Amino acid sequence: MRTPTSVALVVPVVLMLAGVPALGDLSITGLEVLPRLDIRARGGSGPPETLRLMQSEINLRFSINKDDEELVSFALSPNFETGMQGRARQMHFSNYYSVWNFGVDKPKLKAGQFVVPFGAMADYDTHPLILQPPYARTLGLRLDRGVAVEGFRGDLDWAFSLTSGDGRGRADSSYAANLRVARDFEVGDDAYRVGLSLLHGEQMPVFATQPAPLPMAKMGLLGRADKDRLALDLDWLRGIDNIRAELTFGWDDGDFVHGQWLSWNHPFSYETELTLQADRWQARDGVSFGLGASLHHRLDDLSGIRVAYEPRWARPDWGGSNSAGLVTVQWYRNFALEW
Amino acid sequence: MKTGKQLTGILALLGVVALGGLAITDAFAALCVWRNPDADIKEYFGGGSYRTVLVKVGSKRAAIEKKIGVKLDADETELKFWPVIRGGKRVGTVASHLGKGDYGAVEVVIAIVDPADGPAKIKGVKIQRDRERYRSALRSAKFLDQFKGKTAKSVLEVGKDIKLAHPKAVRASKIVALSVKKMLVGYEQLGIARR
Repeated sequence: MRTPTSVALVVPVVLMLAGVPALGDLSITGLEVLPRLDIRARGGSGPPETLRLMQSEINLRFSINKDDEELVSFALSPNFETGMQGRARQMHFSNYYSVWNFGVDKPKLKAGQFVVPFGAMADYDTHPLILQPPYARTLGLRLDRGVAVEGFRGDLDWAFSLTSGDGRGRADSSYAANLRVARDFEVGDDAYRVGLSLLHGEQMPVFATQPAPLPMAKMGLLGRADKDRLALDLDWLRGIDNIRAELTFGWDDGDFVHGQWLSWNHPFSYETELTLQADRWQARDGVSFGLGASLHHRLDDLSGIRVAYEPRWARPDWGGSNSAGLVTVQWYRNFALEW
Repeated sequence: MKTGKQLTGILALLGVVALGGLAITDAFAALCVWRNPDADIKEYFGGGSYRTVLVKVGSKRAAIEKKIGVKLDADETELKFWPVIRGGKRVGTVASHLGKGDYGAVEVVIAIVDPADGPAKIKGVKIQRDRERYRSALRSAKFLDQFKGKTAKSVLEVGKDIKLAHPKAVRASKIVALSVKKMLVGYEQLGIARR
């Protein structure tokens, strides 16, 4: 990690440990240490068959308080091994951020490496899931480094982030600035959350139109572009069903791009649920679209299995078309530690 | 499969645990996040600051289970509370609990106050997330206001001192009642008022 991630995370802890007199009333509370294992077998037409350790990570959470007030909380998720490669790996690993609390009713400051609060992924944590929203195509990144300010005004939640725009630190002065506002509604037994995101980024990554859901090691950058994006996202609890959608459009160096994503989740019981999704993205160099189906079953409070099938197609502008059908079986287990 | 690298990843995970002198257990604390602290503190206490208190159930497990009448879930080894301070004075405590509904988790937020002249009691209860069919009934003031003023000695049982949110929302109503009872008894047994 580089600055500002390191600064945001390390400096306050060092100051406390150094026993700076003015900070002598600091304490650490709420320490949670949550290891997680995720193993996946993948096959189908396109990628080679693999059995991989996809996540071997520890989720750390704790707070630093002064007297009776929480000053800052930390979320750190070091990952030891993953089968993901290249940019796909950077999109998933890892959260390393702090949230600074300036008092109730005042905005909070988030600093470090975190999910950019754009579109559906602002509220929908897909890190442990097989099916993913199309952030790899719509933005070219998911995790990014920088700062964000979050708050609420009445019924409106808002978040503004300023990050590197490359999913990692960068040496030049390029950036991505994003603003999202969201509001909750209730109509009868239905609950809605509607979000509007506006993003402007300079020299953000652009990947070639291809059928894989995430750009793996062999699928390098097509290039970079200045991106402008507007996204409308919806999270709709219709009875017991959860419907999510995102409409995104914008410009890559002045060329119009747009796409759609729709996801439907239906629980059969607390233990078993089905998710179906569809997405389409019209990029500068072609169009890609895909479907997805995932069945999740909890084995117990700690572990579960998922089986997913994702047929995907890509039609590059230069001609031809290609497709892939991915089958993934996932087993995961969470742990807790006692001392 | 790159067996060597995969095993290294698993061993590294276990190594971190071993170095810390920690023991992996099958227990997973069903710690429920508190999603809207600022809005909830304003609603229940008119504002204030908070901090996180995570308390191991430990030797108090049997006592808590006896008082609530059911066993704690295997993954409930710790309970989480947030003392709220306003004007330099502790005005209450917030707790959250994740219960298993018919179709997903039911996340309950409980505001507790400690009056000087009596035991700790419920100031308010809300549902912050659920996947239940009768959501509006479950979140109604008619159902949730039943919990106001209840103490750890209250029965807090559907069919006795708590009425169903909806005739068809039996499990969900019971989950909410149990969540409130569990956290209130946990608050008392674990001495949260003094933390």
